[in-house]
Amino acid sequence: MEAKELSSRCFKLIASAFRETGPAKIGKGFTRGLFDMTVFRLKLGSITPVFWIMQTQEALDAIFADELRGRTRPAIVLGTKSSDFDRLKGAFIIFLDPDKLARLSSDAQVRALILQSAQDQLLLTVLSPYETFSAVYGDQFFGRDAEIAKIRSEPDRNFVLYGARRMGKTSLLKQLEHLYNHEIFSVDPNAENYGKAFFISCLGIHSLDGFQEVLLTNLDPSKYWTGELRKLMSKGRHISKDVATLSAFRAVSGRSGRRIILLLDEIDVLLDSPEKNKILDFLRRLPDMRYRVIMAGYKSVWRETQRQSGPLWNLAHPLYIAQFGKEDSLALIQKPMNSLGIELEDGIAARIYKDTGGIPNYMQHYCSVIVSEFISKGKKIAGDIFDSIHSHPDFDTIVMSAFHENVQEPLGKFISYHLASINIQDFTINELIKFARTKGIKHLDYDHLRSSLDYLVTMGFVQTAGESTYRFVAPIILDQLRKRDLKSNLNSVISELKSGIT
Amino acid sequence: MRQEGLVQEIDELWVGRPSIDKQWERYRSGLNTAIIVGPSRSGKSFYAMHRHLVYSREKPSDEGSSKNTKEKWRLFRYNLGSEASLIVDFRDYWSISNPTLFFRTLQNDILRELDKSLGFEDRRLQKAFVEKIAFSFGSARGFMRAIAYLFSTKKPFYKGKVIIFLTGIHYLHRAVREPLFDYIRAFIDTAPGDAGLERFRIVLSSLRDVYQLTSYTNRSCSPLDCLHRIYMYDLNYEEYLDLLGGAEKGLQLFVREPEYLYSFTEGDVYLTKVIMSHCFNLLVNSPEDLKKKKRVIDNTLISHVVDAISNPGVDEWLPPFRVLQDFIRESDEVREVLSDILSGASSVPITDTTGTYTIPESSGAVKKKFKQGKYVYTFRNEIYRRVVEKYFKQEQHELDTLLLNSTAANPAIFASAIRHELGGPMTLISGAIGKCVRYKDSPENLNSALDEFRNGIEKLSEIVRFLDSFKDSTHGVEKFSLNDFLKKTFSIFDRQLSRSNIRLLFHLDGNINEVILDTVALRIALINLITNARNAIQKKGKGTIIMITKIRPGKQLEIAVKDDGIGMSKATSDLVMSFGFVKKADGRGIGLSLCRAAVGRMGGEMKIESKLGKGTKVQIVLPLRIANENETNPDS
Repeated sequence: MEAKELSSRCFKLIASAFRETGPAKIGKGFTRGLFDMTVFRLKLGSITPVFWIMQTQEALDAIFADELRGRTRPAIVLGTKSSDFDRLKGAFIIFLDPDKLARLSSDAQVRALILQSAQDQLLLTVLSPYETFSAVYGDQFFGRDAEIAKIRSEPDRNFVLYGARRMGKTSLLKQLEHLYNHEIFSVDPNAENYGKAFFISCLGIHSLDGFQEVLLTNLDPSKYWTGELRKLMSKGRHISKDVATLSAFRAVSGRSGRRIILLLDEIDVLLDSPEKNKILDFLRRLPDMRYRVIMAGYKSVWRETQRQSGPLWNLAHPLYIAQFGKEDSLALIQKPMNSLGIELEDGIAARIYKDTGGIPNYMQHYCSVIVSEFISKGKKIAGDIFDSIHSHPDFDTIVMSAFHENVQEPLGKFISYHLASINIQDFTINELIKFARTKGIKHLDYDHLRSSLDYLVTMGFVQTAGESTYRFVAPIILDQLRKRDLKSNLNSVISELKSGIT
Repeated sequence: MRQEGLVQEIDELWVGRPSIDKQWERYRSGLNTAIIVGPSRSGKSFYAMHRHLVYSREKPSDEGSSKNTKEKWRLFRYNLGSEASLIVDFRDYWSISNPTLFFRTLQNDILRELDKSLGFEDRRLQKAFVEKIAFSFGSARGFMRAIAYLFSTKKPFYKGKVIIFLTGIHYLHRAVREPLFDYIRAFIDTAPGDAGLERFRIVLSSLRDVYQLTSYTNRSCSPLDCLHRIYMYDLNYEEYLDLLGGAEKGLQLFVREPEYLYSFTEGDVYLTKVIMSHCFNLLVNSPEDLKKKKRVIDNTLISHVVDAISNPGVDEWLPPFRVLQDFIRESDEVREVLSDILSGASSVPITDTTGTYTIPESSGAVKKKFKQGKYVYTFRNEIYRRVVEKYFKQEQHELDTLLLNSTAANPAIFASAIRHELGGPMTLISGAIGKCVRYKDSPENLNSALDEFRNGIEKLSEIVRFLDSFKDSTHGVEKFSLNDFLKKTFSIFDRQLSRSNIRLLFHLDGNINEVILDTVALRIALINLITNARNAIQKKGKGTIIMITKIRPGKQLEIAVKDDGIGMSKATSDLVMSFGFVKKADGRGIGLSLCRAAVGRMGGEMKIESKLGKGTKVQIVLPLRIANENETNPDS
């Protein structure tokens, strides 16, 4: 079969194996199709371009210049000559040379062949979906089906997500943004299948004025920056920012015929700012039919959800973001590993889940270290991998700084340090009180400890295991505390508690 | 411009760092924001510059006709895949403390650099910004979006991506640093998946970022832990051999046993370069030497240079050591870790009650290790160990000299010491006068106020007597019963101490009868010690002070004051007797040094034993002169 004919046949085979997610494009000497390759659960996005090359040199130049460089997701190129690969070096591509294409057209196992070529040609870190330092969405996002279903099935309700740091709140918001803006929802009569989402991080916003400005620049940048809105606001007409924001809402939702969904991240900053009531009242004032708000936050949100007179009451429905369950966790670990061709010894995945207690960020770190270890050593992953994971320089930042950020009160620290020192997992409040008494902390009572433990439960470090019995979720934190100078840490917390700073 | 000169220098001096490049590739395939982390002079900014240079090499050069160049630039700008980079060095921003002004300056700088790196000689972008956006941003939030808007209009200025390197964040004023971090954190969360912002990447590099950012323990979130980290590791052995290979090629310098040099530096880039260049200078003394083909660096030469650079004066010409000294002065934690490792332990376990456990590491002198199941600090390399050792020795020597000269020889210090001593009675007297005025109608209160007044005057005259004793060395020397004296003197503290839940106990040796000592000096010393013990206990809540006397072998008398207060670390207790050492906010650092001077006058010595959280014991050891003995043997 001639090379051109071969690649044409293979292009069609790929088109039949994957869902098409965008219009095809005919460029200079090539055709480009866009396909959903998320089935591998790797960093092969839902819009992965596949190039079918017809004229070698010109096509490669055009692809390299316009389409590939600077991309962070891999693309697939069906080549006519095996030497073409050299031209495309430096870009993340999976190159199928004529030999591979011949194999593809004969046995037609498209997915297996693409996966195999990806493993051979790309650094596994490029394919690996695990990301520890940033919010993930799209092909890298995993789980949280129940939460997404709940948010989508109640379209008239505002939500406020709360939970510990590194539990995946920002990721969930980014994923919602991605879903609303890029994915076509199935036709489900109960589902909210329209909307234009805007993700806004509230960090650095301390006033209503600042909040409205950020909203305006996000909603209708062209009008705002060409000065139309600002001219209206400043010259003679005297419309206020409130009105400007409303008109921007109308303009944007009217133009697209879709409802606006505001995804506000880090609303702790808003709740701690002096103008919190003004800002939240402004959100209440916006027209219900045209918008909806989904917020996410941490300590202050937790505090506000506890009381009826809080500013969030009647505005948003609280939704607790907990750690992953066992099934989701194991899937998060095993599916991408299988696709990457990394073989885990029995029990490794279960131990990761047990170690981390299902906190997604920790699991992601474990997995990304496994991937890089596999790259450097290239063998089956055995139990000794945990030493490399724990001694990785990022580990401290991820596990310990999350712990310190979440647990700042001396009482919370006291509980954790004490449990680490006696090395047990299940404990009762009475045991804690007893220990405190022996150490000379007399003023601690049941209620003190109860509220501190409630906080630790919300932060995801502790879970209830029966009537007034608690259990530390992630043994890894206790482990890490033990590896430091636990004795002096415990002593200093005890003396802090004794001096009455609780 | 400095920056351009530096860029050229880096291009010539760059040695490969595969271990860092690997991390960079990983970052390129993932996140939008990264931070280059490492101690001082590990090459963080160098690496940022190097990357900037690599990107600028991909841009069209000025060779060929101008028409050709213009066309090349046009192609570059309309190329979806092109990557432009720019560097903003915050060294030039040190004087800005107003956030609005800071963001405007930053905005102008970014626009100027963007114009430069996109080949707009006519500053087209900056002009367009002024005309179209018609708005100067006082915050960073809108700014990037505005550029993204200019890049995505119907006739965009640029289609590719922009990498912004921000170096030297520790030069920024605190007031502008936090808004910048807030913005960066918001950018990290917003940019992925955002069509406009996804075109920007921000790479930070700075020495103290780690130290500063992690110390925000009470903030709702710390921006640092969300940045992708690129670690500037020390050179591994292969990279180190590469570096030596470069020297061999360029300077004809040949290191005979490279492992020997590595054992001192353990891959510290800066130190390796310093040692090599010193060796070169030593080998090349004359123009003839320069002509010689191969210069061999052997072990003796290396150890000679290592000795030289670990001299105490090294901080004056080697920047990392100056930085280290700043850390030692500013941070108690660094000082404690360093002195603990020096005092015998090869490593120190890491404590992290405050959550700031990375501070000692960013001083550059220590590194964190995982050893026998525990995280510990050890010295980064042998040279740092030597430098720190010598630094501490020198510091102690200087303080001792200062103290010796202090109370008597140096009038200024003497005056300061006296002012310290006068302060107490003066406050007492002025308070008493106030009471006298207030209670002039109530005789009972007036009497107690007058008592206080008298008390203050007595103390003043005591100090005058002490001052007198400087001209007459036998003044104040008396024959008295030590145990009675102690009980009598300190009964005045009883009420005050019991009010703050402190018990004063006496464990006195019954065998000591009458002794000959300077009572004034002894009183000053002991009152200071008791006051310190009380302060230490008050911080904790309640406790006990024990006063102990005993006779030691070799005709020595020991008087000790022991408390179970908060105690001190080893580093603090080493320093605490020095003149001017201050731990209290309102302290002047004189009390204990005066104690030491007083004990010195009696011909004795003072020692401090202390444990953090346990308590402190101060021993005064004096030559024993028993009264009876003195009478029977008047010559002694």
